[in-house]
Amino acid sequence: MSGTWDDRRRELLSQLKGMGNSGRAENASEDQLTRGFYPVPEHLRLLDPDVVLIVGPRGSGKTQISKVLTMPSLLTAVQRFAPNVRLPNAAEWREAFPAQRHMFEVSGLTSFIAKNGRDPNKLREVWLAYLLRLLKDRLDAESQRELASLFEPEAAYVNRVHEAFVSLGAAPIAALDRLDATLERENRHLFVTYDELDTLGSGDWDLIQVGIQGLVSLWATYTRRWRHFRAKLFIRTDMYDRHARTGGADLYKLAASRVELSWSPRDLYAMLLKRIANESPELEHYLRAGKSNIQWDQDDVLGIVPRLKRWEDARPIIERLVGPYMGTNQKKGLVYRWLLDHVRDGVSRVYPRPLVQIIELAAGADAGNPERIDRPRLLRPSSLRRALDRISEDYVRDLLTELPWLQSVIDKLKAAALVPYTEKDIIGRLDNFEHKNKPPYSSKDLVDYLIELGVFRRRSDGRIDAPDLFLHGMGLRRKGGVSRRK
Amino acid sequence: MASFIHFDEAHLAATNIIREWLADTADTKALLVTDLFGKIRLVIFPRGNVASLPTQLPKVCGPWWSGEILQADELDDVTRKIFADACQVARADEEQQRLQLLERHRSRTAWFAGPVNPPWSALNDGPPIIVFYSFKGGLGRSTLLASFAIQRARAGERVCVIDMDLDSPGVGRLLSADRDGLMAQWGVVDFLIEHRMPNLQFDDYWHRCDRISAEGEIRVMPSGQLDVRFADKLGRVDLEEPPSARESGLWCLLERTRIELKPNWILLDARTGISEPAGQLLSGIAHLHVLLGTVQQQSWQGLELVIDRLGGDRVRAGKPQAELILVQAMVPAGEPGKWAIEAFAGASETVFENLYYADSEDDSDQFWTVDDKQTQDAPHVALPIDYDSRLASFTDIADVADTLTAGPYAEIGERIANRFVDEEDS
Repeated sequence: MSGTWDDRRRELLSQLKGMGNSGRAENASEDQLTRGFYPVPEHLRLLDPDVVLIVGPRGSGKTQISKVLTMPSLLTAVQRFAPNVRLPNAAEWREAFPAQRHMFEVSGLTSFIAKNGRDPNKLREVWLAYLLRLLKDRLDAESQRELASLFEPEAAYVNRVHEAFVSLGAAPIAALDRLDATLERENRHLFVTYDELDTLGSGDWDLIQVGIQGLVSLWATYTRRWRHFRAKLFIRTDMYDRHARTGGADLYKLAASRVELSWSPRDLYAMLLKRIANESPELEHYLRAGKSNIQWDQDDVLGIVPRLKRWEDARPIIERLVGPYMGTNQKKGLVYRWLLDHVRDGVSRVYPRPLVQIIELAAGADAGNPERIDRPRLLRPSSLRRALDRISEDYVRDLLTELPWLQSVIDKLKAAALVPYTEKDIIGRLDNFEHKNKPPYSSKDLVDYLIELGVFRRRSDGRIDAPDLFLHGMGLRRKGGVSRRK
Repeated sequence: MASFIHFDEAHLAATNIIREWLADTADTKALLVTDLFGKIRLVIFPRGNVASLPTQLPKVCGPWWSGEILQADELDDVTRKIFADACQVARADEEQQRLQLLERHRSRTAWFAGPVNPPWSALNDGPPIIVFYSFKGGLGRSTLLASFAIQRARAGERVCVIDMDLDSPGVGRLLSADRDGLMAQWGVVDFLIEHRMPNLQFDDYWHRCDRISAEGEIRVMPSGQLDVRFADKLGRVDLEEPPSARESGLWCLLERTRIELKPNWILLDARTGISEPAGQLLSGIAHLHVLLGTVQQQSWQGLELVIDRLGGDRVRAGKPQAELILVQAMVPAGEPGKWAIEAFAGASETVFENLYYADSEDDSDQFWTVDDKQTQDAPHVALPIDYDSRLASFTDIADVADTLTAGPYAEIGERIANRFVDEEDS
């Protein structure tokens, strides 16, 4: 082993540790998005104009793909990977939500609901009103004149905006009808996107629920009316299950064509290898130097795209990076399986973000470790294991921004921080916990909800455990095991 | 009429009383000896105020009490040394570190020997030694072993199969030289009797099973010819030899197999239950143990003993666990099967947490800990095999060879092979 390999290894590690922007699309530059984007054929179906609902759990890539839709350069590249998907003509994309200057915000919405009650039909009107305000510049002159009173109130005053909308009668719909007709003549599509809907209510469950129901109701009603003016609603899986489903018939109209942003093991490894390969020519060369069945394509926009027939095709490369096992000899499992298994949540969903993060963090740790390892290995298994704790902390921290009441759950469990719990025990501990944004569930239903979110896992023996992705971040540890005699 | 005190009750009661006594006594250690007949005696090092022990112990032990409480510094030098040496091989009590427990056995001594290591490194010196074991019979253990042998042979490798189920031989006949059941004239039992003799011809003890081995080779050492002399020969085999002893029959058998037959794999079909040969084979001499069980309680009771032996016993002694793969056998079809798989998985996770995985106190590469459970390769994650009536009633192995290289058998075969990935290849 020569000093040359050590230097090369450190350089590769340095590139690896910065490759994924910590896996977050929200903060990624266009170049990073392009390099990081892996075109999963089923996900690309969301480009079909008839697809309105896109459902996926946290970290499944919703935000990334919603950004992709608004990047014309990326869209053309994607067409090469989704030849069977019906793509829109000359599409224009507008972000309707999350909040921008033109959109309502929580206090305004809260005030509206206080005055008008939690009526999804009224929320539908609110959504429509703000949609028209967003699209003002796309409406014809006649529409802009007719709807002038709608554009006057400032966005924060939801009640005023709604009152103006209601007073206009059928004019708003007529304006959008004309817009759709214009788009049809021009043979173009206009899409509005709605993402990060969990920020609707700032943790207020009722607000989120009625807001989502109103939005779903809007597009269930008008999707068939307008053929060239369409929406894309990105909804988190648990929100879809809990809030949107109560939308009844409205939802069924949209659900039939929905896209589920799930990731197969093959797609996950392809995504990871694409990220690594496109980070630098040196990393690309390193990956391709190993023996594997992977075909490496070159795309003008997406860069190097690995094609895997099966997820096991990634194994030789992962073993080249880390070695075959996570421990000494046969211990602790095969690396290429361990990686996916340990970034699963409690319902066995695996996400791209933690998979990328675990490699980045391990690379960062190993870059700073002076100890040598044999060529061609880059990473130590122990670094991967330790990275998991950091990822868990990040994951929980993220989840707390969406579900602030989770902190109260964590605090309640601190007194007995060892999993697994019996169901009776954990329900008892969560009884009567208070938080202003606490979900309106009994403690039993709350446990079920946390299992649905993947924060906990129900074992075959009925006890409640926590997956590694959340274990450390929630301050929990695993009980049991045989003690070594001192 | 005075009630009868059982041996278990006497032993437990005596242990508890001495634990309490030691807790109140400083600078003293104790050795509780249970002899071949179950009689209990106490040796105190160096000496101690026995207080009420002479009254308490006979009362709780009943007929099992020997009547002896020995103070070490009152013993003659030879006797004192014998007991001091005995402390080295005794087992430390789990609750009281100053109490050692020495059990003398008439049989199945291999179950009580300390953990041992395989005779060579599987990856460096090869080949891997794999034991197939089930606590109860009739679960398809030999069939599973045969399936792995066939898979590796079809991959072009040489496999040696050794039928160590001496009381109830099977796999030698299953993998006979032809469809008529032809086998080597001599087998394991003969080797164990004869192995110290000069000019022994190792080729006398095995045959080839070519009809299913494709490009590879399956070499089979049967238990021996099941004729009128078999029981007589079996009675001459010492199955109590310490498995780690290099001059033991088992060790010699493995060594000669490796040197003379040069296989890529050595597969051992183990006797069921808590038998002497099973004690040897489950001592740690193998690189991997494939354990078969079912969802039934009786099956789990036996498996727990074995899992503790391969795991917890070794962890407590500061040694890494012996490697194992768990297989759930005889899974019924349909909904009952789904229930059985879930029930087995639940039981398995709990048993392994209690008896196999080390606690998470340190992040050692050497041990499986409770923090390693969340991977498909974790030892407690069982691989199910559906009940297949064809496999319960076939005439010849060649008729079902294709079944044994597909489906769950292929998955298990891959899991076994994945335990021996050469770092050089990756």
